Amino acid sequence: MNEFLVLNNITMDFQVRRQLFGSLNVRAVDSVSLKLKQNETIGIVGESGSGKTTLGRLALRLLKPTGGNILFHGQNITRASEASLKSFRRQAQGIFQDPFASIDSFMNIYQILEEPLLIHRIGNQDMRRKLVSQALEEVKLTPVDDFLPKYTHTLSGGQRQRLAIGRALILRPDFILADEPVSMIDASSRAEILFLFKELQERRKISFIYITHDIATAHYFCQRIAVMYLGRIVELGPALTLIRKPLHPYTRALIAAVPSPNPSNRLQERLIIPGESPSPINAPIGCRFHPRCPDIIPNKCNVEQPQTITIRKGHLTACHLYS
Amino acid sequence: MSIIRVNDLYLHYGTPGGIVPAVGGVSFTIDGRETLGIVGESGAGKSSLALALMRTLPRNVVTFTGTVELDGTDCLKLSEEEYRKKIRWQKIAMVFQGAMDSLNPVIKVGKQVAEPLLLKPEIKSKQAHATTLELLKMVMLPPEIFHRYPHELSGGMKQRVMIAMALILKPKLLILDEPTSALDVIIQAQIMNLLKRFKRDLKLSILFITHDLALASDLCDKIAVMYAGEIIEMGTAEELLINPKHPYSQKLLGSIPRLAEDARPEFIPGAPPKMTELPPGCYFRLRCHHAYNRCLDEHPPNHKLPSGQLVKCWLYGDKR
Amino acid sequence: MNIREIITILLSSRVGKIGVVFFILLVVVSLYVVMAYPMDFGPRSWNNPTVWADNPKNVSPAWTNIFSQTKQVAHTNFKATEPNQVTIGTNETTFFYTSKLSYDYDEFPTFTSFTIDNITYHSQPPIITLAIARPDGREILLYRHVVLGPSPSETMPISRYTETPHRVYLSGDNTVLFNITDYLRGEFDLDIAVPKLRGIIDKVIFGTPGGEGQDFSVLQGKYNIITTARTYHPDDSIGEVSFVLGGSVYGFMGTDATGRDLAVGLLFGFPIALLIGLTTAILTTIIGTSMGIVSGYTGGKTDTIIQRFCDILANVPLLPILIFLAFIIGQKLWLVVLILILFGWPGLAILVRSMVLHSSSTQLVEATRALGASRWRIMFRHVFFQIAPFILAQMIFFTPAAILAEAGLSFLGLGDPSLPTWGQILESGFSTGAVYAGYWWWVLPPGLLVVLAAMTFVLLALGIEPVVNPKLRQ
Repeated sequence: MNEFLVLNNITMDFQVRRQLFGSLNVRAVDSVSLKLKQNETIGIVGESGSGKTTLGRLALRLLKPTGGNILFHGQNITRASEASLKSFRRQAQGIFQDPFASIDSFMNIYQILEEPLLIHRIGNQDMRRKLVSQALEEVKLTPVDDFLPKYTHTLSGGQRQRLAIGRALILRPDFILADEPVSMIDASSRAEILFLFKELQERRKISFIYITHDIATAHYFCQRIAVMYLGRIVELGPALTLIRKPLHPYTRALIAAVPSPNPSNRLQERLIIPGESPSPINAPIGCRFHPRCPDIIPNKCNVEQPQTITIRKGHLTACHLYS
Repeated sequence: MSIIRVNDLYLHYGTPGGIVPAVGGVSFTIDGRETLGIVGESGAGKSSLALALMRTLPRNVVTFTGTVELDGTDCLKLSEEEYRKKIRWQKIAMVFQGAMDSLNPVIKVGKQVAEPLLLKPEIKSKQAHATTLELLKMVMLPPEIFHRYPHELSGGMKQRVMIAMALILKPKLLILDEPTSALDVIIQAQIMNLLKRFKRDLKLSILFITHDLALASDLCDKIAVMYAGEIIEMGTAEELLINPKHPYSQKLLGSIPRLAEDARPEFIPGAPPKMTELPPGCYFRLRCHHAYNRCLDEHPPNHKLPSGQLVKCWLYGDKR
Repeated sequence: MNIREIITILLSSRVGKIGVVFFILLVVVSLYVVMAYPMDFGPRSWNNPTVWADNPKNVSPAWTNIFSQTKQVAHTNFKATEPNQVTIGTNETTFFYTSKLSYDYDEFPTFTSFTIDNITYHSQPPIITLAIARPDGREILLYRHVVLGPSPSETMPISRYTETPHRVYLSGDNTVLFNITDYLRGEFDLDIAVPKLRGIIDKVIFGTPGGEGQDFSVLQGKYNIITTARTYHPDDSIGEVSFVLGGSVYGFMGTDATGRDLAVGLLFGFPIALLIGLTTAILTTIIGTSMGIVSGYTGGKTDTIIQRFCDILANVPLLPILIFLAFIIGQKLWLVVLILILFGWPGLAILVRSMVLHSSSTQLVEATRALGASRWRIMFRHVFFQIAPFILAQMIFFTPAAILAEAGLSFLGLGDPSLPTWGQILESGFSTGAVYAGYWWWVLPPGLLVVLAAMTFVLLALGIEPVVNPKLRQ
């Protein structure tokens, strides 16, 4: 069993202050279980409010879950202190959504890439310089010597994100959490970043957890996809199967919403589900998706929460249509 | 019958680093009830083009030439006062990029939508209130939104509010600058459906700016691809989406990740040129697989293909 | 970022260049003062009236003469150590000291004084007289002085006026007054009452009475100042005699009520202003920023403790504490600086804390945490730089604020009176009524210098901004 990152029944509650008095408990992530194997990429797809970002933070232990546990290489890191997490942090890296915000604009490129090495006390100055140059070459920010002294405000969004990837790679981690890495980048530059991810996955055998709201990009380089809605995983399965034969109505809606470059699109309205994802504070009773679901079973879906059922090998869903 | 005809629009900004071109010789027409999509990477000049049409350019504009004919009137020749009174928001309206974040947080939504109406002395507030409610209904928002504050609305709702605000004076041309870029994919589809409905029901011409070619296909009858401030290809949606001619358009189409096929999306290596360091010859030549020596020296003009499609590429000119 | 790069950036903008020029000016002047003047200049010289005794009081700077209609009297000190003429008699030797005074001024002098320094005698005490020969031929015997005789315990030779010279203000001396009365009666047949005469002795010496002896007009021309010293022993010696013609203008910046040369005082203010300003600003910023960052990023109990501490300090009234401490410890400069720092840092800490709280919830901090960075690294390597432009601006603005605070405290009388700071000079100006008397040279220059110092730091702040914020670099 080479599952090195295991999230067991993870729950995350936040206290939200309502008006002046009292605070409310908001459940951002609800009983999520996920196992990440070596050299595997799992995509987590969901809209805003689905809890995918929170799940990402939990996977990197930037948050402590309020329920459940996290195992990394067998070790329980759920309640571990920051000091004891240092070796975990070396093996688990992150790439975040906003390439402008997640990198310190007061450091030049060399310093940005050197920082993880300094934090984990790797090598001497010569060694570090070599590793930094290597990282730049891997993410194709060349010629290396041109980029090293530059500051990030001279780079484009795509270039900055590649820098962030370089920074994540330099410690040779086991897994990288990529949280919406291409959403703030132009559509035409996205492919380049995704291609880089795929290359890294194949060449360096790094596992990825790839968080996105765009199922099309997940399809490109994830082996498995988990679809989240209001804190729960509503479907989890192999990427190709999930997209070709989606089980959950929400998955189907997500797939239908992806624009394709077909000129006849403009002549008809797309079939989509109505409304928006409600806020986790007002999660509907029963199946959380039922107010928007086109296949709702009356008196079942609005009453009872569906259990997670395995339909085919490695493909499961939480939906009353299959119980 | 063209509603708007733009001819030879040039735009230059003055910066501490020198004069930077933003838009170079752009020309297009939009007919009544027609949607033109402007597709390009960030920095290609799309937003500058839109701001130029609205005449809401920043102060450091150095050159602004060309003609913008709206219903026969050259908008650029009017004084600022005349333009403001007659054209802006009444004939041409715009939903700016990220506009939903610039709603006034301390004023109720309804009042903000009604503001363009309330500024007209001949309209009474009761009438304005009624019109606003009508518009909120048109953008599929419940009437109680009128009394909400912006922070109480979700992203999708706010964007609908912005669209309502743009339509309140019944303009002839609606400009949308990346209206869905910050929204989730399902909300994006909902807004696109809404715009499709407007296209059908209102006599609206639309200028739709986006970096996503697939999204453009959802609404646009004509598509123009912008690169480094120029339109390098323009044609019908069918022409551009099925058989693009310019190498850049081809790559752009190829870079869209498709769900249906397993094909690996292409990407375009390199980055667009810095507008302060535009190369001689064709601006795209450094990234183009088909570039030959003519592309290095001479800047290609617009070639009109027999179908009516326009391409700015030496591959289609008369070969010399 | 090394020093050379910082300087390059600083000099790349116009404001930076001007700021640097002014700053260099401040530093150069300060260095000069520190090297040229002793450290105890304050108590030894500035506050010692005898040092300034020969200066005119409350007069404007010498260069104002250019703008005045009438020619102002130049302050002149006619010193003589060697006599022009010696007459040796049988039992006595008379030394004659004659100084030529070319009086071409349109005004009367502000005062006149006569000083005798360092006399040694062996038998009878010498007799010193002072007379003035006027251009109109008249001569006035102004003053006759017998050196103090020996007291019972003293033995010959006796030295007099060695440590403290014998100084006589002719303008206010009673014997001179009587001599003048005689002169007037004899030469002009005028009888002016003593009280009235008291204020116009200088006018009588250097002027001609008009009419009823009301208005005196200036008598221009060549005067001779004749000092005679009659000694009764060949070994007797006279050190120095001097006659001071009190000018109506003096020096580069004029004088104050004590006769202090304001130029010297203002000069001395440069290093003090720099010292106070920079020390207070730097220390307040360091303490305030560190506390703010730790408070904001750590949160929890540490945060609460620090914040409550800041609240307490911020609510303590500054002035009563300062008055109280000044009473106990004495009015010292370091006390003022200490108080300014102690009550200055909480305000900054509170501001920094709120900025840090905002910065802490950004993706930057998240990403850096994910890298494994320790709390301290995040605080001082990342969050700090996000708020550094603000901090730098604060520090630079603290400097003139500190200078002004010191000036204000001095103005209220709480400053260190032994040091001639710009604030002290302003204070003495106001308290002696210089403002109302129109002595602009006393009140305007210190104010302008405070402005200059403040402006220098503002320009430096603007020039140095690109160092902290790479986006502003060209």
